[in-house]
Amino acid sequence: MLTVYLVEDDPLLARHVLGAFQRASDVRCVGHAARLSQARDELPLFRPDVLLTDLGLPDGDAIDLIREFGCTDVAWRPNILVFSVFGDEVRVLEAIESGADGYFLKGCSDPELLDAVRGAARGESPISPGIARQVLRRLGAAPAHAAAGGARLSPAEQAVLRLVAQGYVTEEVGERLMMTAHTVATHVRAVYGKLQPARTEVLAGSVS
Amino acid sequence: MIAAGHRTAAPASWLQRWLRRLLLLAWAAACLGVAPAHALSIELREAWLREAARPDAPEARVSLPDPWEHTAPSRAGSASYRLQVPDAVAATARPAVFLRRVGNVFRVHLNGHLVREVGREQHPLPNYNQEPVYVALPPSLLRPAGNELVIEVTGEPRREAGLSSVWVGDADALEPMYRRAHDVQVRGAWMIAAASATMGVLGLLVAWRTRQSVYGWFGLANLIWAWRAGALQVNDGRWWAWLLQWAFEFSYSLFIAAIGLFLLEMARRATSGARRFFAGYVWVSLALSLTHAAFNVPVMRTVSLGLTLAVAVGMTLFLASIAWRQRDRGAALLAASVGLCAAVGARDWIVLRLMHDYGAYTWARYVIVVLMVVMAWRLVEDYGRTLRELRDANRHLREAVEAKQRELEQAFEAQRAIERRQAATAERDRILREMHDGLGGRLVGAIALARQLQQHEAPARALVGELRQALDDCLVELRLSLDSMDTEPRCLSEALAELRFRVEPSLRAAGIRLVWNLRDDAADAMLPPTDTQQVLRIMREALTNVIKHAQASVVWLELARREHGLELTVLDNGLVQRAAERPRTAPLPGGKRGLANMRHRAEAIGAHIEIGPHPEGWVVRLTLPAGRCR
Repeated sequence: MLTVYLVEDDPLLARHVLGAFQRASDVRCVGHAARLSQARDELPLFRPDVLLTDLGLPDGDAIDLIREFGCTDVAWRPNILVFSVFGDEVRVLEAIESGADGYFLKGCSDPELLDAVRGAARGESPISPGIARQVLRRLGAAPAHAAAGGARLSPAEQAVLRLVAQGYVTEEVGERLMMTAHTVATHVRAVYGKLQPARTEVLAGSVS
Repeated sequence: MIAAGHRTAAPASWLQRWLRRLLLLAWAAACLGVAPAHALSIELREAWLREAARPDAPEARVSLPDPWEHTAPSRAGSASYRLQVPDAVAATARPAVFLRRVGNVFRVHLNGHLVREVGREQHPLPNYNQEPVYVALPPSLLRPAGNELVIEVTGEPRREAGLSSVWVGDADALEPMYRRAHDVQVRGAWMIAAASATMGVLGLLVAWRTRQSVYGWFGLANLIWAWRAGALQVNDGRWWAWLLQWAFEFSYSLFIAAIGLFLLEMARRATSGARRFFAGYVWVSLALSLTHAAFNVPVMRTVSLGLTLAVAVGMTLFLASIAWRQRDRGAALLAASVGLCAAVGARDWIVLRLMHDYGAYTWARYVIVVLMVVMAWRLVEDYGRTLRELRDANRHLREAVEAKQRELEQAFEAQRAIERRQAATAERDRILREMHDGLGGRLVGAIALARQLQQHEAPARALVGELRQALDDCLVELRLSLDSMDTEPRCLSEALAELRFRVEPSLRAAGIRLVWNLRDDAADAMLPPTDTQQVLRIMREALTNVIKHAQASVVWLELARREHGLELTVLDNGLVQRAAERPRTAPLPGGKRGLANMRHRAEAIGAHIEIGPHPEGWVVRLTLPAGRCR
C-alpha cells in the first residue's frame, strides 16, 4: 500500500484530493496538514512514501519543508511532489533544487493525480516543458555553474530535456530517442539530482 | 689750433655728428646752462710725440686724439706728448686741463713741473684709460706766455694707451665738461652694472622657478654685462689684470651669444641649429681673442667685434623677416630693439675700431637698457597670458564640474528609473503570485467541486459539466495570460510546448489524442514576443474549436520550415471528414466569431491563414513570412 501525506491549505482542493485517494485501492493518505508546523511534526512519525505539498502556506514556504526532508535524512526520505496551481517554473525549480522530485499540476483529473503519485513512488519525476527549458538554460549553457556543482548534463539528458521543452510527452520522447518511457523518466530523475547540489554532496559522502 | 667753445672732434660720419648733437642737446637741456657761455675752453688737437724707446728719433707731430696702440710702432714703454698751451689760458682765474681719456699710467707736467701723476710704472700697469681726468693748473707755475704741457704716458700692449684731445681753459668751462664725462663714463657704468646685475639675478631666479631657459639666457647676458660695465673701472693692476683684460674682450661674444639665444627663444626659434650657430660664433671669438692676447694683433679684436656686429645685424634681419612673414608684433619689437643695439654697436665699432677715435666713449653699454625693456615687456606679456590662462582654466574647470554634475544627475535619474522598473517587476511578481495562489486556486477548487457534483446529481450533471468546461477554459486562459507575462525570450517551439502543456488535459478529457510534430529545422525558430503571443492565441482557438465542435479523435500539430517561411498546421479527423459536404462553421455561431478572430490575429502579424476542409478532416494552416522570424 502506497502511503501519501498531503500538505494543502485550500480545504476545497484538499477535500477533492483526499477523496481521490480514498477511491483508489492502492493509495492511502496517512495524513493531511494545512500548516507547515503540523507537517513538520507529523512527517517523521508517519514516514509516508510520497509527500504531496503545496508551495505557499499560511505559516511559511514549503520549500523549507522540502529542504528539511529532501536532503538531510538519508535513512528515510519521502518522494516529494510539488503540488502547484500552474507552471510557476522559477518557484518549482527552486523547490527541485531544494530536494523535490517532481512537479505536479493542480486541476488535473483524479486518474492523472494518482498516476503522478504512483510514478513518484517508483522514482519517476514528472517534468513540464517550462521546467525543461529552465534546466537546460541553467545546466546546459552555464559550464561555470555546472562545474561549481560538479554536475553536467549528459548528451542523452540534454536530448531528453530538449524534446520535453519542445512539448513532447514522455512516451513521445522515448519514441523519438529510441528508449523506453522508463529510461526517459530515469534521465529526468538524474537531471533533478544534478540540480540538487546539497543532496549530491550527501549522496557522494555516503558512497565514499 | 685754437677754438672758442665746444667743437666736434673728428671728421665723423653724418650719423655720428647727428647723434652727438642730439646727445648734447639732451645734456644741455639737463644741465640748463651750467657752463657759462663766456668761459674759456680750448681744445688742443695736436701734440709732439717722443717715444722713450727711441730717444734718438725726432719728435713726431701727431693729431689728437691719438690711439697710441695703433700709431706707436712698439706699443710698449713710455711716450711723451708735448702740447702748447695757448696764452689766453694763463690769463684765466682758475686755469685747468681736462683730459677726456688718457692711459694707462700717465703724468702731467706743466712747464717741467709735475702737476698730476696717476698710477705707477710697474708691470702690469693699472688700467686708468677709461676715466676722464681733470687737472687744476697751479697759476704760480704759469708763465704769461709760452706755457708747455707734457703728458707722459706709459702704455702696454692691448691696454689701449693713448691720448684724447686735450681741453685747456677756465675751470668754469672745464669742470662741467669733466662732470658730464664722469657721469657718462663712470657713474653711468656703475648704474648700468648695478641694473644689469639686478636683472641678471632676477632673470636667473625666474628661470630657476619657471624652468624657462629664455629667462636664463637673459640673466646670464645681464650678469656678463654687469661685469663688463664694472670691469671698465678696474684700476687694480695686479698679475691677473691681463686675464681680466682678455676676459673682458672675450665676454662680449658670450654676452652676444646669450642675448642671441634669449632673442631666439623670445621669437620661438631657438632650434638646435641656432644653438650650434652661436656656439660656433663663441668658438671663433675665443680663437680671435686668444690670438690677440697671445700675439698682440689689435686687428683681431677689430675682426672679432666686426663679427659680433655682423651677428647682431643678422639677428636683426632674421627677426625682421619673422615679423614680416608672420605679421608678428612681438618679433617686430624684438627686431627693432636688436636693430637699435646693432646700430649703436656699429657706431662704437666704426668710431673706436676703424676711426681710432681715442677720445670717444663707447655707447654700447647703455643699449642693455633696451634689452631690459624688451625683457620687461616679455615678463608683462607672460604674466598677462598666465592670468588669462588661469582664468580660462578656471572657467573650464567650472564647466567641467557643471557637466559632471549634470552627468551625476542623469545617472541618478537612470538609477531611479531602474529602481522604478525593479519596483514594477516586484509588483508584477506579486500579482503573479496572487493570481497563482488566489484566483488560480479558487478556479482549481471550483473545477474540483464541479467534478464531484458531476458524479452525484444526475439531473444537473449536464449543466455542471458545462460549468466545469467553462472553468477549465478560464484556467487555461489564465495560464496563457501568465505565460505571456514571462519576460524571458522563448523560441516558438517552446511557446507551443507550453500551450500543449496547458491544453493537453482538456484535449484528453474530450477524448482527443494530440500528435505533436515539431520538425527539427523549425525547432529553434524565433518570433517577436507579440507575434508569438498571437500565434499561441490562434493555435489555442484552433484547438478549442477541435475540442468543442470537431468531434475528432486525433489532432495533428506540425511546425515546419518551408521555403516562404514557417508553417504551422493543425489538422483534425473530425466532422468534416465524416460529413464533408457540410460547412463546419454554419451551425456553430460561437465558432464563427472564433474564426474571424483567428483571421484578424493572423493579419495583425502579417501571416497567411488557411482554414477549411482537408481530405483528412479540417485544417488550420498558418504561414509566417520568413521576414518576421529567424
